[in-house]
Amino acid sequence: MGMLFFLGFELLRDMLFSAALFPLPVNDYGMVRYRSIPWMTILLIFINCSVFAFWQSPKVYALERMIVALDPDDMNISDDLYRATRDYYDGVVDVWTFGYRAQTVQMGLGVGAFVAFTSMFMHGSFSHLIGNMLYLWAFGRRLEDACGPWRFLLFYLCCGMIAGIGSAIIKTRGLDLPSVGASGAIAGVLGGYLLLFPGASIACLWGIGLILRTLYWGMAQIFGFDEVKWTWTVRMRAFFLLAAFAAMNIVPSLEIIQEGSNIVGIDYLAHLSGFLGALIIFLFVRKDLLARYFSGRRL
Amino acid sequence: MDEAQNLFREGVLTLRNEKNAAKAQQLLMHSLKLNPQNEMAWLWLARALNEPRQQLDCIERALRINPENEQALALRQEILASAKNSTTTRPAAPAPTGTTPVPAFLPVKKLTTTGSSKTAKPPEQQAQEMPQVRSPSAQNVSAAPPPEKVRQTQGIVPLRATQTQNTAVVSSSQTQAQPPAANPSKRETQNIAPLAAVPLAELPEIESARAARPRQLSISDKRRIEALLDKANVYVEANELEAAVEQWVKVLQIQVDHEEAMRSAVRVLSKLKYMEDAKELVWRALNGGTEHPSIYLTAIEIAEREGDRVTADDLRDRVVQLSQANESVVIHIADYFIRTKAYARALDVLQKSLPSHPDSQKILVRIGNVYDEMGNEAESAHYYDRAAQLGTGTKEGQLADKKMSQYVPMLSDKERGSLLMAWREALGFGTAALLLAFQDAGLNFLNLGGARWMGVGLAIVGGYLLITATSSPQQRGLGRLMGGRVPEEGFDGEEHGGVIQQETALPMIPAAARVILGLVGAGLLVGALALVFSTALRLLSSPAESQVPDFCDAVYFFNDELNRMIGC
Repeated sequence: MGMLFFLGFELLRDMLFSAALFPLPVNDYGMVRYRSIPWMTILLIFINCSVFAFWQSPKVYALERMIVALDPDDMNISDDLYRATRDYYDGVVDVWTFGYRAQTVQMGLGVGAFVAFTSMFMHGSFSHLIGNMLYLWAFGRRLEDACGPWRFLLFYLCCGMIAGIGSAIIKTRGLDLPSVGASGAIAGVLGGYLLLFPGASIACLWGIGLILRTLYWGMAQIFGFDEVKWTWTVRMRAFFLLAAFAAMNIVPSLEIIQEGSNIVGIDYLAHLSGFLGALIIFLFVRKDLLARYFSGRRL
Repeated sequence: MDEAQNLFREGVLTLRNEKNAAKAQQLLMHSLKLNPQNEMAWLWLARALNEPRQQLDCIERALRINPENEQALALRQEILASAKNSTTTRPAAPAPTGTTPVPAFLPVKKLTTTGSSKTAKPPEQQAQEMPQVRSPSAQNVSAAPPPEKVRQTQGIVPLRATQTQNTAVVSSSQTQAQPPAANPSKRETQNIAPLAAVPLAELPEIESARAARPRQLSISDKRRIEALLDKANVYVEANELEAAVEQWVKVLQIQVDHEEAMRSAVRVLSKLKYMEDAKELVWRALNGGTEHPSIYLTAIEIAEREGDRVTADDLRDRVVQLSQANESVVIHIADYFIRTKAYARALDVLQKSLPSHPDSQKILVRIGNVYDEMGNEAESAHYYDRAAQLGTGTKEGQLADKKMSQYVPMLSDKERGSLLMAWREALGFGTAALLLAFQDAGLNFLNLGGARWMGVGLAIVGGYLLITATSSPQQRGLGRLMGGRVPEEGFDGEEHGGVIQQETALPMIPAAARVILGLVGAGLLVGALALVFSTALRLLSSPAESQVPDFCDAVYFFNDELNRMIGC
């Protein structure tokens, strides 16, 4: 129960923090034209969540469990503390074994190039997972619709690999640091979405937007100058949202390139590489959609 | 109506008591302007005039209102006899009623021009100038007067009067085809079938119309037309609209369907409220076999204004079949049918015009709209798609594109049969294989080696075979090569896998061959994976040390047992 409370608190805190200044996409207003159920997107979300819930979460939060289990007055190691410490250690080893490390890939350590896949389904924290899955849900559904589920899966995996490769070959220092998360692949999904549906509208949670909207709505209610329906989400153009996403990754990426290593704990280079890797989307979209795209028609 | 009656009474009194024909003409004309159905006013006006042709026009008007008006019949006989006399013996033609000057213009529903009082000619001359007008057989439409005589007596051929005499024989049978008129009792008694009330398909051939049938114009005719049009323009600029109309009518006597003259004349006549005259000009052109859609459109408008839907619709059917009917005409007609929810007729018009306008986005979009209204989504999507494929730079193209986004996408033979599209998808497999190989080779292209490159090649070929077997089994040339046949059913507008399948003319690879291709492709992909990921697969069977670094500096517990546990 304590752990659930902790996870909920962390999620709320991180969501509020991230959605306060920058819009957090939660849904896509676009029309799905081929299939109504994006089962590959759902499957990917399920796999990511399952990996975290059943394999990673006991280890990811082992340090917190250790703190809870630790009794400074009792030097004896309790079972809880023992298990927490064991999990903590295993968690670290897992990240270093299955996370994307340039050294692992280059030297064929651990599972070698398989880390391209294993790292893609691992996450560093609950809020990391939820944030990524929100983006995947908001942008992935329509892209899956445009590609078909299997092509979308191939595209997703390719973008994940491009993100890992990009980060590994551009960095000059700290090559041994592991990188986990679906962010690179999802950045590719965002890039693909930007290429195919730049004019689409995305529902976002956005603190500033919500405050402005509430003020406007309140004034409209008082003075009656407009029929405004109050909603929790703010509607934004995908183009602006994704251009902002790219810009927010370009600046730290340049810093990483200059510094030679990642010093902030977020692999911006992987995000940017995945985003740019989205250009391969044209190899995966449906043929009729591609014909429409290049004739300037709606997708 | 009271005012018209008062003016009529005043006019009669002026003519009878004061013998002032000029004033009487003005009063009677004013009265007739307000109420053109007053047959007695027409007769009195005939008496007030002194030119036989004008008098006859007035009498014809009166007879058209009441064909059994004995006074009118008698007066006509009298005037005709008088005119005949004057033509043969050239005596001074006595004015039937008085010797008042002839009015410059007859502003009644039948537009007729006369000489002005200043230029009035002696009766002999007047009689010489008019006889061909009165004789139906002598309706010499090309006999326009020289320009200097324009303001003189030679005027507009009394179209209706001429047609009246020609159609009198057949009109009794036509009356059955007439739609209900505003005043049935009068209509039934008329010998003259109002042309507008009779569907054109049923109209008899008219001698006069035959004479005026569009023909090849001589150079002199063209010159005369140009001169008349110039003259009309001068009149228009001088705001002498009636005189301008006179010129245009003369042009129409030379060429019955001269577009500019017709357009101008009808516009001005409508403006001056001479709808009857405008109508006659238009119908005369139609009977003359005009091919100008604009004249048909005008006729349709007139018929619509008179509430004659049958004629209007018949004209609509005819106009779209004209060789000169362009896209805008078709659209105009189709839009009317769409507006009135006559979707079948709209569709008929649009479909018939499509072969001559295959790239008309407007027509295609309208066909889509009609099918949409009829609830046939597959057909409407098909036509929207065709319109959108012609380009989205136009308003119609954008509209079609927008409409298309409401439907599931269309898959055409162009996309289905494309080899390039299939190889593009195969390249997707190749890209994935290359990325795997690159990582497996330690992020170094130089280490890829022949086996991994072969793996990439196999992935492309295997991907192509798998794509061919699953999503592109109708590639151009390939289907026939493998003994495929064109699918006979299930592809005509059917939704399949989220896509509407358009009718196809491409043969499809047989199912058995597709299964084999798919299995071979999948096998090649597995082989490719083994080649491009050889190192990683070997490590999977016997993992190497992951070389986790020493964390003791970063993580140190106060408890030795814990430190030992994590290896510190």
